[in-house]
Amino acid sequence: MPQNRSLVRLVICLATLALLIEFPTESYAQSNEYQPPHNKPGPATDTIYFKAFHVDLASASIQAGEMDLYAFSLKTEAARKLRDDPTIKIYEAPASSISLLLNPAPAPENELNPFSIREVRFAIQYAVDRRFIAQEIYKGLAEPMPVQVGPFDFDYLTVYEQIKGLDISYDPEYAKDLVGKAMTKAGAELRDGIWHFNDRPIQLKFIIRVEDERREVGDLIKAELDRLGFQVIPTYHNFAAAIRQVYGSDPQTFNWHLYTEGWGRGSAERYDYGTINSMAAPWLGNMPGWQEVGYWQYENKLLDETGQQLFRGDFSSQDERNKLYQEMTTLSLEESVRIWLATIVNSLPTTQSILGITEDIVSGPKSIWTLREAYIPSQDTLTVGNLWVWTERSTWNPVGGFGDVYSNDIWRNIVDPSLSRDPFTGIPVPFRTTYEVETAGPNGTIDLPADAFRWDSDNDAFTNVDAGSKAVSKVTYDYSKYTQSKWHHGQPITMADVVYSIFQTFDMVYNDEKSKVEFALAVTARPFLNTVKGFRLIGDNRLEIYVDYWHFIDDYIAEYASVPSLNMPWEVSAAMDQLVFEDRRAAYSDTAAQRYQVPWISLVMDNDTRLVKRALLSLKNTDAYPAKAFKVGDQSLVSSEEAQSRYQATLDWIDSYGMAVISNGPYKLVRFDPPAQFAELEAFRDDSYPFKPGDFFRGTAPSIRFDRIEATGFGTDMQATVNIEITGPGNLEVRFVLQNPVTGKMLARGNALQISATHYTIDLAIENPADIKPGLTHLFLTAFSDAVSSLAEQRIDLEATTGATSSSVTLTPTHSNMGKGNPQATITPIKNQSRGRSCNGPPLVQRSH
Amino acid sequence: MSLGLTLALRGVTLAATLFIVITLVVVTLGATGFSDNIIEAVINEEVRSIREGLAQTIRDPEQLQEVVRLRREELRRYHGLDRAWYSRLPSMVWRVVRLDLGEARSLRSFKGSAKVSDMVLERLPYTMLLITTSSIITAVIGLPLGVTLATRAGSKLDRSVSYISAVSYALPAWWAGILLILLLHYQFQQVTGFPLFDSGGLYSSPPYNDGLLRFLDLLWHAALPVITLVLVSLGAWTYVVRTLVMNTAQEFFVTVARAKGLPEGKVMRRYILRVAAPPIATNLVFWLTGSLGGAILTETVFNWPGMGQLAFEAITQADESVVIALTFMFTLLYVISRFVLEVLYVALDPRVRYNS
Repeated sequence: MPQNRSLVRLVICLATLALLIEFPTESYAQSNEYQPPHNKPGPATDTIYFKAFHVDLASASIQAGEMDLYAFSLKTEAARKLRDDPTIKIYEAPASSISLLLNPAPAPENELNPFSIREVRFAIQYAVDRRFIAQEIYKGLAEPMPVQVGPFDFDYLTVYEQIKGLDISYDPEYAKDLVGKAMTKAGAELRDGIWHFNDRPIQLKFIIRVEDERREVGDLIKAELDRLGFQVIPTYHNFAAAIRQVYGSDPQTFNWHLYTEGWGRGSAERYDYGTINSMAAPWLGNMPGWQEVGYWQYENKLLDETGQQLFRGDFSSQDERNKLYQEMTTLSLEESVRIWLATIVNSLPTTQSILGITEDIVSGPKSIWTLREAYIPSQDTLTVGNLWVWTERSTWNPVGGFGDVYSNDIWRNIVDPSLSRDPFTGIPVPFRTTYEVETAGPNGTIDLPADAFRWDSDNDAFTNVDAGSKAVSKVTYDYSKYTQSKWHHGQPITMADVVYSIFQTFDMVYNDEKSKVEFALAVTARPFLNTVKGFRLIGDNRLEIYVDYWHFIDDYIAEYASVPSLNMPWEVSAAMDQLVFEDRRAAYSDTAAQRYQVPWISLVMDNDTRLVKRALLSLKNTDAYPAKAFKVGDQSLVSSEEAQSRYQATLDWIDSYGMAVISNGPYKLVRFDPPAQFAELEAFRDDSYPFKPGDFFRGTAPSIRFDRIEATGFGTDMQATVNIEITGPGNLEVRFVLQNPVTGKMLARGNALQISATHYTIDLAIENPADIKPGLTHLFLTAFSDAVSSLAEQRIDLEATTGATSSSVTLTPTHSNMGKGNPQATITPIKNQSRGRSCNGPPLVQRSH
Repeated sequence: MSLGLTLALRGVTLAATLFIVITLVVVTLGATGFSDNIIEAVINEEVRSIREGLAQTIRDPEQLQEVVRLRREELRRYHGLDRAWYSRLPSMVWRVVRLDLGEARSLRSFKGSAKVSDMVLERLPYTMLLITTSSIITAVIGLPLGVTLATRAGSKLDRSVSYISAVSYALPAWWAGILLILLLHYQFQQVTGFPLFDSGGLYSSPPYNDGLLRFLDLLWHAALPVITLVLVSLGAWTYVVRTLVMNTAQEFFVTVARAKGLPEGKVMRRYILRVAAPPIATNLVFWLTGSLGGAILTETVFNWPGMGQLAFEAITQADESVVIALTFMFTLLYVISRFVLEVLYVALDPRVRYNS
């Protein structure tokens, strides 16, 4: 060892040189230029047609000009071919991921399930070639993903050092070594390359999905498992058969040992708490055993406890939260019941001529932001293709419907939500309301004012809250942008609509009669509504909402507390309530519909619209309206005349369009034709509508980029300096990890020091010089921002050599930006890599069982 | 035994067939666990999605688990899993036998109705327009063509058509469909600027509201799938007719008729076609009734919501009441067509007499 140390010291003493790495620059704002086509209120385009196209014909259809945007992901091969067409633009959205689920159940006596052994499961992490999957099978339309978050997620940064520390990469020899030791210890024997237990070969049932590239992924993994000495019996299944065999069976019946899972997601979650629990912690019912009574259950107390702490928000700062997240990630990696493989980039094509697309960091152009701004110059119509426009699950009612993605793809252009998620950060942002948050959390409380009210279903009235009521947070919402405008049928939006929404939600849950009728909706809403402590009307447009909820980011509190949903005029909701709870001629939910043998109400259907019309006529003719729902304190928010006017407007709307879908967004639904798989939206250009083209345009997420890296090598003082220049939006930060690639040991880590807005510096100090060996040392740099969720990664290789004249520390750039704008970027394979670990895997925190 | 009694006995036998088929379906769905497994998997998927949604608002793990448990129980009741298959399925059969097709659990008609009868009434015309029309066209072309070929066996025409028939028979309908869509929709559009046929679906985009124009649009959309189906089934049908006619033409009684010096036209009509007619009629009747069941792959390729797709969706979603109702319907159609054939045999073939 002393000899080594002096050798390295000799080398690094000689080396004090400066190296400069520069990267080509281009303006990241280039793609964000947008010229609104006009200045009128409403959206950019006058008409949108939604039409169904089979996914296999989508490429040809968009090339033939039959649609302008396809809102369903193309198959990989089709997307690859379409990339060469100059008339088409492909938007890439990392909206899916794939994983490998291992069955950890213990085998019956005298048999052995290799995956019941934690070390064998962990070894599989090294037996899967994630880079091959991403680059060859998915043709670059995927990113390797060793944990539940990928480089497109903000929490990737939270666990970045752990990922680097474990250095999970394809290393079949290391995997074989781990498997060999663990299997031998368990009493298995390797004969002619096949593992045997009690003289019988060990066989693994592998369920492989066939609909997409997971078939090839499955074949690849099968080949690796063969090499590890297992006899693999592959079974190729589609979705229905596979989930039946895997999720529908007791793990201990061993219908399967491995399964190629796939996951989708609709929007970014900046601070994840659900996914990690769902994908790692048994308590949430997504791990083998599925919390199904009578099944064998995979158990891990520590994962459950840590997961629940994270889930509850049982932390007092972001740092504390991050520590919980890191601990869970480490635990789930050690357990390796679910092996993450890759984030899949979905390909959504548009014609080149379409302008105004905003790219959500997860769903690409398929978000609330796009169709408000999208248009084609000199064209007043857009045709949006999707796999379906209508399915059997398409039910257009905002209380217990909208369960299918295709209806939501249309609906989100018809309604303006109070808040939405920022397309680049995933953080809640104001959309049509503004808000102020006041919180005493996590430990304090705020007193509710005496005139705060709550719906009292026993007395059938809004009543003041009890004296001394307290809540953790208060959010004051300003609804001016609603109340200065009109519903699609021309009636003004008022605070009565807001208050009716509160009444409807609370009465359905706390009114015994109603909650029995809509049991499913009531039982799921009750725990949330229990945390809503009270409301208070302020002036004509504002509402205070008091909740027992805290988050270290105020916007999440505002999102949580946003109870009223202003998506339909109160009279439509009242007519539906009448049908569901009084007349029992329809139901909000599918389960209630079946129980009472009535239609699951859908406001685009002829028959259901007729029911709504009948209910409205009844209300109108009897001059009735739900006055109790509008009486707040001494104030009555609706008069009989206003109610009559509302009823008449809605009846006129139904007569005109044959549907009862009335909302407040930039488009009106004017046609819905299920047999034709067609829907037509028309621009809502009322002068009072508060938004015009350009207001919601965000374009492409700006990327963070390393522009210049200047480094000096280690001197005798074992210190080096790295100067970094980066470009990107918002407040930028740089984090670094210095790692010995041979031992995997982390030599230094920390945050770069900010010198100016774009200039950062790292002073590397090696505490133990013995850790520096001749050869490569990796410096990983990660730049991130508060304005985008994705981050940029860079790896710098520091090479210590021992030659007399060339002894130096040299810097070699080997890794390109892994930000969202460059999803095909790859980590260059490390040369001469060997895994000389001193231990057989990561340190254990907890054994599973 | 009188003809009437014989036919009555046949009727009873066919009714028994209907009963056995339905029983087998129920046993297959229930006793094997097929239905329960699929429904359980559907519930698991729904619960997974519900849990994900609820996690946004319910942050207390215990409450979340309790709510998920209650929802799961509700869904099990909704899907009928709170009862064993042997108590659940027979009641569906009893209802269907009384010609009440019942209500679907997850499937819906275009108007949002859950009634199976509404779905069938909605889909059947589309299927008849597509599959039955193509079957009739195929029969109308294939029947005389097959007879003609049989009379000219070994000729150049016969050999040529035989080759074409083999190709037609070998063509998978879905593949031919995609090929024709690419050629007659996309390629044609590229060359001429407008498509000869649409690529799929029932109506154009935007669809016509007017009744007549909407119907004509529907016919235009049906044209390409009909052409596809005729193309892939004509070869087989022509060859079947040719073979049946040729086999009869080689019988001794035909040779005797010719030896007696009967005119060739009379030999063909009375000695060949009349004898060959029953098996041809059998094929034709079964084919036409079978056409009401739809064609899953062709319907999928052309995005045509017919009976085939309905049956496929019902099976994959284990919508038991729809599966049982459709099985009952299709078997009933088979039974009726068999009965019609029994009568036809008597009318067509003088050799067939039940009262010996």
